[in-house]
Amino acid sequence: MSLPECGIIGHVTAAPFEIAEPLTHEVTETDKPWACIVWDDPVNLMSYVTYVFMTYFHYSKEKSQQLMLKVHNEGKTAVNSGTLEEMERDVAAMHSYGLWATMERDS
Amino acid sequence: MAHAFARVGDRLTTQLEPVEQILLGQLIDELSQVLRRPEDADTPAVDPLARELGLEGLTGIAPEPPDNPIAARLLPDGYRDDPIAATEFRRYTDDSLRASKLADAEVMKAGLEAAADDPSGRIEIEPAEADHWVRAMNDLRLALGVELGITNESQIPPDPADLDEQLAGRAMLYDFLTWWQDGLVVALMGE
Repeated sequence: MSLPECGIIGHVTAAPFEIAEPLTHEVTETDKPWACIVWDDPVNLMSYVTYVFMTYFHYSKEKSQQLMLKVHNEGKTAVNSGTLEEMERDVAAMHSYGLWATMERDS
Repeated sequence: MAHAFARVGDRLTTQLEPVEQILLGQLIDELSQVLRRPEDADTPAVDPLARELGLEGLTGIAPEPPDNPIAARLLPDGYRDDPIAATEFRRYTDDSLRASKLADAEVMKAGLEAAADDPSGRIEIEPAEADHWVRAMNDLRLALGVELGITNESQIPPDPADLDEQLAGRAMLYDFLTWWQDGLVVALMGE
């Protein structure tokens, strides 16, 4: 995340977030250090990607569609986070469905 | 003309013309060929006990990323910027991923054979088979997508009229599978 451009006002408003962020970050860092990233692919159908998220992760249709649209619009998105072993299982499962997935340290 | 998927009880049914059965059957055979390891023909299979225990990765050498661009798309790296981790990941997942995709292809092939035995080309998909079918259809579309050069840079499938005869046939199969797979997915989700 980038800092506000410049100026006193920008710094003042940003300050509370600067303090709050490390606290929440610490929790995710220890509990869920890895993420399963799904990348955009021109072949996989939007309906199919939604179906995969619903079927494999048991996400609701709404959440699955939101994640699918994030992949489509932003090029990639994290669809789950957890331990290295859990995420390796998820990435392998995404590959079995033909989705283009990789593992990353969660940030 | 192929039929869209219809729900009958807990099953999904569809119909395929003989020519469609043959073309899709050939496509599945080609896919299965790509998914088999080149050395599988003359080397013994992985120790069955090791496979059962999920330890097959411990016994073999780490497989190389595939040279064949279709295999490379179907069996991608699990890590983007870490070749060593990607190799380790492939060591543990390559066998099971290939086996999973081959099993999907076999389920779809069996459905096509059932259609060939039925006078109206009818196919029935049981709930337990549905995931195999959508995955196999997707792998076929991914393979055709590689052949047709459907990449992130050119999102639109090429117009068959602009292609040579061989690729024009592939483009038509791609379009057909796109329609067919979407119909199956919509039927599966619309319950």
